Amino acid sequence: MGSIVNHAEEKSILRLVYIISIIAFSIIALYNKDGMAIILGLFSIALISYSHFIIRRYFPDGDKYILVLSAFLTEAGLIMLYRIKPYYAIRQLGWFTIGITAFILIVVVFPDIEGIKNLKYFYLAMAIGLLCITQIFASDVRGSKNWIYIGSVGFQPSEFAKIFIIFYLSSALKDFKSKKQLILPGLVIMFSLAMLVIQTDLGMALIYFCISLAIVYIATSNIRYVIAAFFLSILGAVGSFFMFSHVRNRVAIWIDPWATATAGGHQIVQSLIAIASGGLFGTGLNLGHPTYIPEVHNDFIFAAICEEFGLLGGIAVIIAYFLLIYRGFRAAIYANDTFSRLVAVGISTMIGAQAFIIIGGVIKLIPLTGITLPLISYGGSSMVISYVALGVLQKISETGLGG
Amino acid sequence: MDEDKLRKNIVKILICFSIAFLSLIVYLTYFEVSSGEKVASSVYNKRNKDKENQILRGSIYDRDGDLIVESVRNKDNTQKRVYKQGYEKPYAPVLGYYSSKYGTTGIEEAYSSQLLDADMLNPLKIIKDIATSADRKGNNLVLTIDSTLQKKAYDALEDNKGAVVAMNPKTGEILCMVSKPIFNPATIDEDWDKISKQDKEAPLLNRATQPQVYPPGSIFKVIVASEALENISGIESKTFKCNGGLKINNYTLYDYSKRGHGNIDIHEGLVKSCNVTFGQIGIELGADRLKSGAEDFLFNKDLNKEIPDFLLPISKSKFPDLSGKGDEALAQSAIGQYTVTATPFQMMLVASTFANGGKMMKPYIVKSIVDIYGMNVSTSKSQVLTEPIKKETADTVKNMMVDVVKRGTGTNAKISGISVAGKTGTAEVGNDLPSHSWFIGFGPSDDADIAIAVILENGEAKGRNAALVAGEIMSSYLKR
Repeated sequence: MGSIVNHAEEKSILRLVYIISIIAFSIIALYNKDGMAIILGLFSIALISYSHFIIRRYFPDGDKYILVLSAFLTEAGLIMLYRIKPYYAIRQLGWFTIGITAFILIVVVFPDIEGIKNLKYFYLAMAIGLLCITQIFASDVRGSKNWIYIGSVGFQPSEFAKIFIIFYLSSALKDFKSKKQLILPGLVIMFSLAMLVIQTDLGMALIYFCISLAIVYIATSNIRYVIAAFFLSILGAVGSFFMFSHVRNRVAIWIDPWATATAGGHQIVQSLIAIASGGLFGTGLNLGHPTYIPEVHNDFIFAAICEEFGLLGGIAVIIAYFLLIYRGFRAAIYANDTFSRLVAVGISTMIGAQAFIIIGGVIKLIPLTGITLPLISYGGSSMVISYVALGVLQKISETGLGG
Repeated sequence: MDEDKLRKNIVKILICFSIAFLSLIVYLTYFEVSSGEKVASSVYNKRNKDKENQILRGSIYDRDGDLIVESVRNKDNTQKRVYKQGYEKPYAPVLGYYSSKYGTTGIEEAYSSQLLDADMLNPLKIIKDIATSADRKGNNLVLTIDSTLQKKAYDALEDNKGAVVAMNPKTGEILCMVSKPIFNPATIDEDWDKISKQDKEAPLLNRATQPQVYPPGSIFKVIVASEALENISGIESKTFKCNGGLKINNYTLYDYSKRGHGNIDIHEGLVKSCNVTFGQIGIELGADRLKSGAEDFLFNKDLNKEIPDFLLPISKSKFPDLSGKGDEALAQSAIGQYTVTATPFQMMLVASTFANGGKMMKPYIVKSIVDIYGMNVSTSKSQVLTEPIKKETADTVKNMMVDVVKRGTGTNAKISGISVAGKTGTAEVGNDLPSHSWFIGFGPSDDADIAIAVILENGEAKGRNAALVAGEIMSSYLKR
């Protein structure tokens, strides 16, 4: 009986998400006299409800809220992107379609997680391979060398490598017995971090670090590894501070962005101004000027949300992320086997750390490192990978004891 | 592996994340609360300029609905204020200036957000705006100021430095507020260099509300008189002896009349503005009661806090703490000297209290805010601000003030056919400079429509005094 009630609850939340999206897209359409906004909104809603229908229909045992929360965040992203520039939202909708398709395929078609737990060398090869081709072929975009172009479509290999790193570490550490087992994974982690720092992809390095830390901690149940890694990382951070000027720059901007408000600190200053202009309730959708922030559709989309939806909107997004990773860790707790558990921890950590690092950077709580806000920021790699990861999470939740 | 421990470890990671996410929320909230306003008003915020240019600043009307100032678009899509011919300088102390270079002051500043508020929360208006694709225009202000009186007051000051402020004592509506010398808001950008060098003239200063240096002099005696009436029993039948000076220790408080007023009661003491009488009353009242009496009339109070809706800055009027300062300080303070200071605005409120049976009404200068379609956004209401004295006290002092104008020191303010009450003041400013000439009053005395305060800086040297100016202004208002 309980499950029927929960089912209704989940549907009523989804309905709210739909209503909010329809209202938001209608407002944008009204202001800009652009009916396209409503069509895009309806399409995205149809996509979500179809996916939800499939998942519910065939796999009713999985986590009920992962898709609902992801849908909310994705809609928030689509709304803001359309408002910033319809072009972004249209492309984003394409990425979302690919992402959610991957999500469904993973849940419906893919074999059980059990079957893929022993492919650690494949995962290792993919992760290292992706990071290396970046180093070789990457083009310089916005000061970070982490993009590869195939024709006109660019993608970030480090985004994809993330997933393989999670799978690799989970696979390598699923039967942890002795310290020796840690040597190769340790080297792999250090190598990846070094590659990312050299590619000036500091935010990504931080995410990799958090993922590794979480997986190693859960696999070994030994806090000493975490402490050791922590000190090593401080050493590494201090080292890179002195070795790389771009790291020093980031820190200087973080300490006082106003000193270089028209140069290096420009982005963060405009971000803070946008957040401050929003106040508690925000200017209202379409009534702010988020486009004054460079790269607002990308790393800084959270500032745009704060400007138009206010402090309350910002907090709502933060809470949604927290609930999402809570569902992820919950899936980890109820998972059947260690491999699934480690993967679930890795994925939840990935999403949580990524959201924390970029939101913290945009509001100047921590130094800014350019990464995307998962599910909201404009970007194909990030969107597809996020949904792939969420699909795996959904799959794990389904085979687990909870649900 | 120990399942339980593993689960606990996962929970620990989740706790780390909850701390991290909570810190995001706390920091974001802290940022908005602690520095939100400062950051939003940063010069790097392009929104501020944009907003001002996007929305055509609202117009300002006088109490009769006549236009005082409106905004028009320049060719480059910026905007400028256009004043009704001849209203620029008379209205400058009230409106302040609006300059893209030098900022905003006065009503223009205080009501900036309302003037720029195109009310985007009103869906009907959004649709109308979109449908008509008209220039979005901010809300309009309707002032309580009477333009005829405002101009009359401006002219009546002639070339004197000084200020006039008047209000309806029954409602609190400010009827006029002028200050001289004054800048021209229409040419502020061109005049700026010249104006900013005129330290002595200080044309940017609103002398009605801002100076903290004017001693009130004898007009302060009305406060002392009401304090005496309420605190000293039998004061009205008491006689004081005035022989031209009050000797206190080694100091003598002189009267304006060197010959003295002889035996005199409090009524005649006020009518003739006898310093000796009020010096003695001051000593008898003592430091605490003098101070609390002044504070009942809102001395030592931040009027902008007392009247939060009154958005023009008003300086504090001050009455000192005299405990232990000796009798000469008490006597001097009781005649509005020593370190007592008052703004004309403050003294106008004092006068209005006697006009209105002991009730000081809350002053207001913006009657209503209306949107461009004529819909009322907000309307000011008359409210009692404070009740510093009893009605009987107010009426007794009013009778004294009527005699001041009828046959005392204030006969210059007389208006034929209308009974006017008032009190003159000649405030000594030291440094061998001529005294300031003060007048507070109201009329008609039995049912007042106007209460006024006038100051002419160093006015005693010139032929014109404050009573005369006040009389002319009140007459023009009451004889309409």
